[in-house]
Amino acid sequence: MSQYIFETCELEYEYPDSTKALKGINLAIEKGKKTAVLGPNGAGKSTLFLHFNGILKPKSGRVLFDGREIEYNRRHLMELRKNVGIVFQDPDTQIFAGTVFQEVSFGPLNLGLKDDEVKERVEKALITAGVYDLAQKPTHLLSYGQKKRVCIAGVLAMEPEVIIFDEPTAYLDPKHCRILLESLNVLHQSGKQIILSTHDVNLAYGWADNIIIIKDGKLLKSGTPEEIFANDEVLKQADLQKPMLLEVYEVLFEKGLIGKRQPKSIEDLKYIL
Amino acid sequence: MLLDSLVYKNGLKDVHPGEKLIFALITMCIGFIPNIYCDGLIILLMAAIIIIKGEIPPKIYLHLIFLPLAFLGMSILPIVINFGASAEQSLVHFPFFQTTIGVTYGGLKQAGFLSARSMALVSCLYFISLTTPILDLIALLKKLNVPGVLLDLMLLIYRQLFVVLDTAEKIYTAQNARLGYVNFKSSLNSMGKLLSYLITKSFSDSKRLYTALVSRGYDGELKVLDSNYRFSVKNLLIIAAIDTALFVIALKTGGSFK
Repeated sequence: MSQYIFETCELEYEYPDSTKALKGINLAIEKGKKTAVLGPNGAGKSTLFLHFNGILKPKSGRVLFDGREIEYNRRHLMELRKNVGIVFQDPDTQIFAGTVFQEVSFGPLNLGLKDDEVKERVEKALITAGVYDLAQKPTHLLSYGQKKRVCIAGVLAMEPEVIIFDEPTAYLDPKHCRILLESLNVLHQSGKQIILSTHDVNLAYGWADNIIIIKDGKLLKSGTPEEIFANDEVLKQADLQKPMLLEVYEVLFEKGLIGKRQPKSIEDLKYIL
Repeated sequence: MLLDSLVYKNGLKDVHPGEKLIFALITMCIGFIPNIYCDGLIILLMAAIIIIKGEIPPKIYLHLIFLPLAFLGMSILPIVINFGASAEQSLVHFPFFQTTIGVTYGGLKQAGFLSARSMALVSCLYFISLTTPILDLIALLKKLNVPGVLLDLMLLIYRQLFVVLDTAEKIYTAQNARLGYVNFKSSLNSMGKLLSYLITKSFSDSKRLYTALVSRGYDGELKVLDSNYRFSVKNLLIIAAIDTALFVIALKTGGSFK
């Protein structure tokens, strides 16, 4: 048992068209910590995620899952994919089946479970993702937000330890964003390891326990939100803005209106004041 | 697309697809017996079931029924128009070179019988396609042991049809918003670009879909769990009763051509 769920060691990856996506990344993701990966488009976030689930094989370097190096044979990959689920950004390139029920049943069936157990898991996942009433609906008649939740249910039904979300809030309206974040927290509390990538610094600041910043295929910095966002040099290099809440806090702090404790949400700030 | 969503909302959606297929196939077989009364009855019966039980709007069903009529009209022309018919056999006739050309009573009658039978069979097909979602049919085919590769293909094509159409529509709107279709020349140009973009996009999307499938443990077979329908004895009895009645009518009333 390791303290880290994922570790990478000098991880390099090059796409077949010889774009270097990852240029020697060394990072470690702590177990049980809500982790957000930040970085500009093309920094290598998605490529990194695909390594966590064994879809991509490093050109050089190592990837460790739960302290053990990933092996690229069928049996180990199946085991890895059972434990690590990825929810991709675009639901339309992820949903292949006709009905919601069929779509969600795909993963558990691949795990070789019996039909009855699959059915049970699908129903459970649909309830958790809040799409139970859509079970028999054809997938092409769903709205974007619904499709997104169906994708999440599809991964949940495999009951992985780790769920990775590639830009989960992209294109979602504020209401669905909030619902999604709530369900992420519920999942976290039920003992799942949650890792997500985002461009939203406010979200990362308020939600994450740990933040990893990637730029140009390299690790720029990792640490707690307080550490990361206090470091103006890193933020400048990564072209990231300071979270609005933190900005307000700093002004208040300078004027001596607030103590040392940094607020993590608006409610938090109101409470402190 | 409108039809597809109608099918998913139709009143007979929850009936076992096998029952619906059996009903349509047996009724089609009865439709082959030459009997115009029976054909008429099948047309009315199917229309009634589709509209009342299936809750398909009558306007849409009428529209659908008129579609094959255009083809039918063209194909019965050679039957209606005959050469060399005498005046007393014909409704109208004109001299045509050495012979005559005209519409004979016999030809008309034959065309009527043929049309009735075609429309009866088309009604049965509409019954299937308007009350049974494609996915149910695929699930049924799976139970009938149709090879999995074919069914996987059907499933993927059906799903991707909507994805591609959706993308095409978005690109079209974007092009149209920038005056991509103001005249014939620009329309051709824009349409060409739209199509070529669709191909490259579909290609990259298929790669992404593959990645997403692999990450959920895909190993060469698209396994999905189909919803279970149960055969209803009541429905089977109703089907048996209707089809027996039709069969008896077809044999006894003798409304055949000759």
